[in-house]
Amino acid sequence: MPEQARAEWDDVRLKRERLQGLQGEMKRLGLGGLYISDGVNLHYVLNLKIPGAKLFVPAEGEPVAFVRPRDAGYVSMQHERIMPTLYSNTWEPANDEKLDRFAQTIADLMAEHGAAGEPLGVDPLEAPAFHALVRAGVPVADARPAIERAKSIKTQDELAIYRLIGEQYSTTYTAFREAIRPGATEKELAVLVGAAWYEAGGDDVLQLNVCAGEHMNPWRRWPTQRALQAGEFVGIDFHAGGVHGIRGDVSRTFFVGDPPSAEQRDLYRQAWDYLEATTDAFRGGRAIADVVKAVPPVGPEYYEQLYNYNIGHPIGLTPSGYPHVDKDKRPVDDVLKPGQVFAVECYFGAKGSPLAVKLEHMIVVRDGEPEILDAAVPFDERLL
Amino acid sequence: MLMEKTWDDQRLKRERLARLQASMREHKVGALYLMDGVSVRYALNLRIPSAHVLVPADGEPIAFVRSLDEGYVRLAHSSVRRHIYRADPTDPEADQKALRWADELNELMTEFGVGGEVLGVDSADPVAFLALNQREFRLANAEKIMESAKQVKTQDEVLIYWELGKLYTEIMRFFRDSLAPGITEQEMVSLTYSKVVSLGAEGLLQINVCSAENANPWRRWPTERRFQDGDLVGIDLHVYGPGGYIFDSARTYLCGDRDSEEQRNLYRRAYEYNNSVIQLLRPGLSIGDFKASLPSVPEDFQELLYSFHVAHSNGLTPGEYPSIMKAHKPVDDQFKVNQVLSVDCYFGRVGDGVAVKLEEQVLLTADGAVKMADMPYDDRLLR
Repeated sequence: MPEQARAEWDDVRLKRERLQGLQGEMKRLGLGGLYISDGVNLHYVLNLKIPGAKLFVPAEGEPVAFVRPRDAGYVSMQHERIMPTLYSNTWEPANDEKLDRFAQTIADLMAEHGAAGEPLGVDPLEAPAFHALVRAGVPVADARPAIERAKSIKTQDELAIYRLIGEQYSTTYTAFREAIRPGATEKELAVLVGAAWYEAGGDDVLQLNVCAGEHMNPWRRWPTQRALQAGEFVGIDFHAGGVHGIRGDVSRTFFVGDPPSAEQRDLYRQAWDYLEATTDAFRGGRAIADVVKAVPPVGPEYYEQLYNYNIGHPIGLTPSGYPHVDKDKRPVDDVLKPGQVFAVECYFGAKGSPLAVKLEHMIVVRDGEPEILDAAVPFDERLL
Repeated sequence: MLMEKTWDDQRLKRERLARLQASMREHKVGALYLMDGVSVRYALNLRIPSAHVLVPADGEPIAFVRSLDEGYVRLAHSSVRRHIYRADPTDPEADQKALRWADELNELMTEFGVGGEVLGVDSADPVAFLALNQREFRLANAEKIMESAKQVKTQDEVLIYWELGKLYTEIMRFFRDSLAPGITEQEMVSLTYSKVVSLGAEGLLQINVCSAENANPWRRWPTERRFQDGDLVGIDLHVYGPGGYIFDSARTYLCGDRDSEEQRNLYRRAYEYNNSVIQLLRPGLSIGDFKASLPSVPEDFQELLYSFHVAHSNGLTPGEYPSIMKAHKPVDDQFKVNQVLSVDCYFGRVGDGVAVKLEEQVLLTADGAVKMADMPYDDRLLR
């Protein structure tokens, strides 16, 4: 990882600003506390990945992490308030009695923070744990509106990490492009991309689609032993894990061999034009309904498969989030805000045809035109 | 490719579903509604992001998928529908949508002939739970039913694990032979990842590489620390194999060649403990008796050793049932043929800065536990 990039973010400030954002949303939505079971949400709040852990977040003050003894060692080096896990696997008989103690402990923590009787936001949790909270008389609400809205605006340090991720995509996709040749299999290319990502200092390979030829339409997702052939497209859609689990999401399509047909060039050009115009529609302060209106029209043959995808979706620690921008759903009643990070999608392929082009930008919303994080990731200029 | 396709995917799906539906009938559950990705994969033998599945006690499960996944899912499964309800926490109509979903579930259960029976749910969002409660569903914990089905592997699951065992044999040799002073933990992760996927694995769930003092306490996540001559380097590896099966094993090796007597003693202790625990395992032995017969361990090693499992099952998730912790009350059950277990072992004293981690994945056969990989130890530390 380039040392210069590393110097551009501050881990302690990142954690602090995330918590401030989340607690602000909790107060706005009237939540007295959150009980978080989802590993990714926990990772978000603590900026730490802890398998099997849970978390209580008060509307003010330090969150309490519930961790297994084997993880207490390294967690206590980075977070002040930890307690042993209250229950582990709900399928173990011994846990039936633990669940009531769990609910009581959470009620006590709410009281300790002056929030007794206020709603407790929870994210998806196991049926017995949910019922234990209900039995203990804790008013249960959905934690995710607060979490999702907080996550939607990236902190300054998250944006610095995203800029590094953009650079890492550039070296990784360049390696992918250079390895394209007739005879190479989708799997071989996937292996190479994963290795290139780690070499670029990436942390994790989260989802990697490599599809060649007719595997691009319908988009088959998972790479196979199919070998590339001269005269066809090969597409890549890669969700990569960067620093602290922050995810990127970028797609490209390249041509195998040379030269492309007029039909291939035309499809690629249409897809690229659409993507660039759509990307430009993502502007800070613009209502989501207006973003949808600003998206250019597309031919009826491409419409259905294109809008099986979102126009754009936020990314962060998860591959999507709030607010979605979709074609045929009622638009979210909100405006785009500076600091949101979106993947802008584009899939051009007629139903029944084996031919398709998949492209995807990763952008930061700001006032005026967006910042394109994958600006250095190549397109196939032979097709433009 | 190192791994060969020895298993039958269709039979795997069929036999796994048969086990799941038998477990449902035993627990008197009419249907399961599964929202967790791994549970969905278990029921369908397909990886579908954001999908749900309704599993009736008899009949073909219905996959609920997003429009963008419909294409390839239909190629592999016959009963596919668009989502009725998918939690969008910021949707102002989420509550009404969830209620309509609950009503449709009711109708689907009636179509399957299990109307009004108990519905098993795994992990759901509160909006879904509240809707099910409001519609007066009788709910059960689906995780309990799934774990009971998953604990004994079908013939094809066992075949997949034997292939993954070959991969682990190869990977641990590679890891041992690649260690050299000057390499960082993170670089070692990158090298190991490339090797793992080039040998045919689906991906990595978790890789811990911890060297010298980073192994005690076990820091899990790799750092930029460079190996030095005489370091003990531990690797704990969770690899996704074919079908999403997770293999889980660990080893510790000496980097360079300056080992100490203290390291050798610790290694020998860990090696002997781990292998004697494996020898205890046999079908028919109760979990309580197993725990009572564990080898004795000096007190200064107990805290860290027992912060890990004694043994746990693996499947599409690590740490399935049976999951045996020293401090937990043993479940009233016994080991069974075709269970796949990882036997944990971590030897280090609190505050000592040195540790040895070994972990072995075994199959329970009528004759006892058999190691599923032939991963090398560090012979220099066993002299």
